[in-house]
Amino acid sequence: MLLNTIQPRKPLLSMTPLIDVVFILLLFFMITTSFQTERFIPVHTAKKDDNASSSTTMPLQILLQKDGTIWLDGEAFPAGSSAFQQALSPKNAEQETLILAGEPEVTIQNFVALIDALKSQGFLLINIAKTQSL
Amino acid sequence: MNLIPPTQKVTRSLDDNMIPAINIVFLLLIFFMVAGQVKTQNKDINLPQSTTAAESQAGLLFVEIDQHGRYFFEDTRYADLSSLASSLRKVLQASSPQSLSLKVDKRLALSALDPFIDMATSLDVKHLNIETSAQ
Repeated sequence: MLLNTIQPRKPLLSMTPLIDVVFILLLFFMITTSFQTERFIPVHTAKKDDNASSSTTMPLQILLQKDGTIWLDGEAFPAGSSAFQQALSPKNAEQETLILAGEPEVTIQNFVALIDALKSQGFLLINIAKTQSL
Repeated sequence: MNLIPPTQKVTRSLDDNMIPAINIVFLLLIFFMVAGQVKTQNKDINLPQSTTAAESQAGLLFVEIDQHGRYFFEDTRYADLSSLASSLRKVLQASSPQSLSLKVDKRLALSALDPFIDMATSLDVKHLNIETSAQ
């Protein structure tokens, strides 16, 4: 004599649609998500009247030409020359104010590369000015 | 007398076999939702490369300039700088930060920044953060 023959029925709730939705969400987040942190070079905007008022010493004026030549206070240094870095004399670099300008045709990448070179020498007070032509 | 039928070997359904996989998928989903940032990136902007750039703090105001010199602010394209300046002025008055972040295409000529620098100084913005990508 069988007294307990009826098995409890499994609930008919299918997981498949839920899994489909979760997979789609996963794909969406995997494709659109970025883990890259934003990185910046901080610079200051230079006004013409800043030169005299902000510091007692005259700021160093640097001009970048489109062929890579760098002018430092009226003296020209060819592109990639180590003499430019020596001429900058990084004593007191952190307090030294630089005013950086470029010729209109200089690309942003070359300008940023020059800022990079100056920052790696310890200069922190970099002001960018409007373009100039020689 | 057999009161209870002999237990049959339970055959696990396909759904049951998928449960560990679903658990992992859920964990991955939660990881990407929590750890990542969904960003709308302007595809026309190739950021300049830099070795000395520092990581940014959150909450900066971004102005984008693409390789054609077009201005974007808060996902809106601005046909001219004066309309961008008026939008920026409103935001700057509300939040009063003295810095702006600039996403600018590395192939662009430097002269394209001149009007932007003029505008920034007229808005009394003292600091610019040029966004870069790692080399």
